[in-house]
Amino acid sequence: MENEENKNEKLLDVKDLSVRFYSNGREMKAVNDVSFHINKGETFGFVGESGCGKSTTSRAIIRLLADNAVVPEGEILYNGKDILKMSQAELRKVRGREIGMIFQEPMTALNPVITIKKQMYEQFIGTNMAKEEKEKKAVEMLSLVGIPNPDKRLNEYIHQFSGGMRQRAMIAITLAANPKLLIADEPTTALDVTIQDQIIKLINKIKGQLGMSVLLITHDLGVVSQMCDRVAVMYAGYFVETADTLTLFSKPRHPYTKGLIDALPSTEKKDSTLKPIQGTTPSLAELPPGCPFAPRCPYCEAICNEKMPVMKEVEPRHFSRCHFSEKLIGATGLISAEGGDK
Amino acid sequence: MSEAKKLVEIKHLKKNFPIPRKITDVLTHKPAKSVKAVDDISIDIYEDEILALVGESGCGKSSFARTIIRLYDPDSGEIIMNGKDITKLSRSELRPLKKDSQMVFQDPYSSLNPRMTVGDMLKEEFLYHHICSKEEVNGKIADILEKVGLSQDAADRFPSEFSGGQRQRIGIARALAVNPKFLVTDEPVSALDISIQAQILNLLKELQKEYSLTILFISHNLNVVYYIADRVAVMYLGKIMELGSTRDIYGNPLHPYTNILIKSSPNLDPRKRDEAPAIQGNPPSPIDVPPGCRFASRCPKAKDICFKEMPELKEIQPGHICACHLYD
Repeated sequence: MENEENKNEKLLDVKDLSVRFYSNGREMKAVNDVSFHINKGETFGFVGESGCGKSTTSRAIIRLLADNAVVPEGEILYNGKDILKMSQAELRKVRGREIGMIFQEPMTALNPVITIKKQMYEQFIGTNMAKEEKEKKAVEMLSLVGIPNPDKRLNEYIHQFSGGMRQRAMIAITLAANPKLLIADEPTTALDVTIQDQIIKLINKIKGQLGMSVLLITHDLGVVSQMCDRVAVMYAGYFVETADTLTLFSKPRHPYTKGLIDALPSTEKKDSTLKPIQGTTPSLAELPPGCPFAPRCPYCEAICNEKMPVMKEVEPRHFSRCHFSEKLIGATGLISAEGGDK
Repeated sequence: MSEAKKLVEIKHLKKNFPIPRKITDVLTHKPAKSVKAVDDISIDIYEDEILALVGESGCGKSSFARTIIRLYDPDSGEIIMNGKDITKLSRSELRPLKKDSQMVFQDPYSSLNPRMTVGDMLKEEFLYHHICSKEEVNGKIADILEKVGLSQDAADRFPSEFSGGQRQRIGIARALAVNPKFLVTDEPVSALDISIQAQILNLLKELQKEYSLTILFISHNLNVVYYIADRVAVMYLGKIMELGSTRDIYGNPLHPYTNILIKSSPNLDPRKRDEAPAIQGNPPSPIDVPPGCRFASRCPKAKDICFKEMPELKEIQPGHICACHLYD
């Protein structure tokens, strides 16, 4: 929030990105026509249920997709340069250095048979840092993320850490390369609520200190609320709504967002009955011709089953992909737009 | 609650899991260690209520649940169901009682037999517990599938053909097939997406009313518990720290740990962001629990006595009990 002058400088600009997977002769439309940008110093969130394409989109950004994935169209401009057109050598300078990534499960993301120190030092390859400098930086990173006795813990292995400490160690290793963009894929999902709280606050704090941008992937609306400046709601590989966090939670304009909000149990809700979204998510191999949410949508009309709606700007900087988004004007959100206090 | 009948009475229940000793430990006469998963818990569960048990991972909530339906054998204490102490019963004596208490597990992927069709699974339940004759079994299966919101053709399909939410419905159908009085659900919605989670929560609520079930609902998610539970018990390292009605626990939490748990839950209002976390540090290991209050080492309000003496559970307000020296 502090870097107001940086705010409108786009660090990452993704245009019309699509991803297809091919398996057993079937085409899976995992990501469809996704466009968004992340400004410098901003936290942008993808939220959606499992299989909606949020992780696939984030992996496409750093070209970490499996071999059976194809990106038929789109541009991923990082500082104005298209990541999709980079050579392997150019990509290596960006991936893991300019753009770092942390994952849900540190035990599988980090190497169990080499020490934290060695994994941290891998980030310094090609930097001409002296040995003492590396050591100093490594200790500094561990203390930055709040690991006690950093000089001792540096020589330990990941299994010697507790769940929350593992996540901290992974963050420290990723940040050692000074990334400008941190992609965090469900960073707190495997953690207990008190530890989740610590990691959320840690990422928020470090982001401010280092002036990074963050791309957060989560299914948890509470985590979104506590971390993100702007959010995109994903469904069946499509962005269905994007807005700043407060607007999205207080004035949702897509039936799916509204459905998620109504289905979420919360201690802050006055209305006590949950309204589940009926049915289940469609298979990505057999997406309907119209809106993918139509079969489950309470506002569905004939046109929804025939024509895919486009992303419309329903309010300044608030986009919704729905033929009938105006029907949702005045719908109750998760929180009220007025007044920040309880 | 005063006139409500107790369905299960648990008195001083203990369950330890011994830690395997190394040969060097035995030779050097190091004492045997154990994890005190359930450490002297006494609690009454009333008929027709949904009692939630909340706590962080490793606090012993699942061990407690499994012990009270005797999936684990307790080390000491009593579990009185229908006036009978079930801790003393042998396996064969326990068998007719098993259908009174059933369990729904967290992971609908691993708690169903992948080689059996849903119909076969349910048939086994009905016939093993002599719920009905072979001729009636197909009708019974159809009934229970309808109750949990599955289509009739589900009986001929295997668990792998269902989505996560549908599998959880199968798990619930299997548990309810034998008309239990007491249902233990261990994180039944944690593996599910938000939209599906709401379907299952509503289903559990409906079934609870319809069958007058008593449910012990284990969860780490305070928002889910707030929605479904009548009473809430907060557990930390094998002990109950606080127990009260859902309204009291959320509206007026007495124990500092309960307070911190509630504060740690991410607030849904982006305007309410704190910079500092509600609590630092991790829960201590359940192997060498310090004397005194389990929570003292992390408690912002800890006094000297908290490190020396374990506080007893006391009724602070009617129906609201708490184990904390703050209320001595």
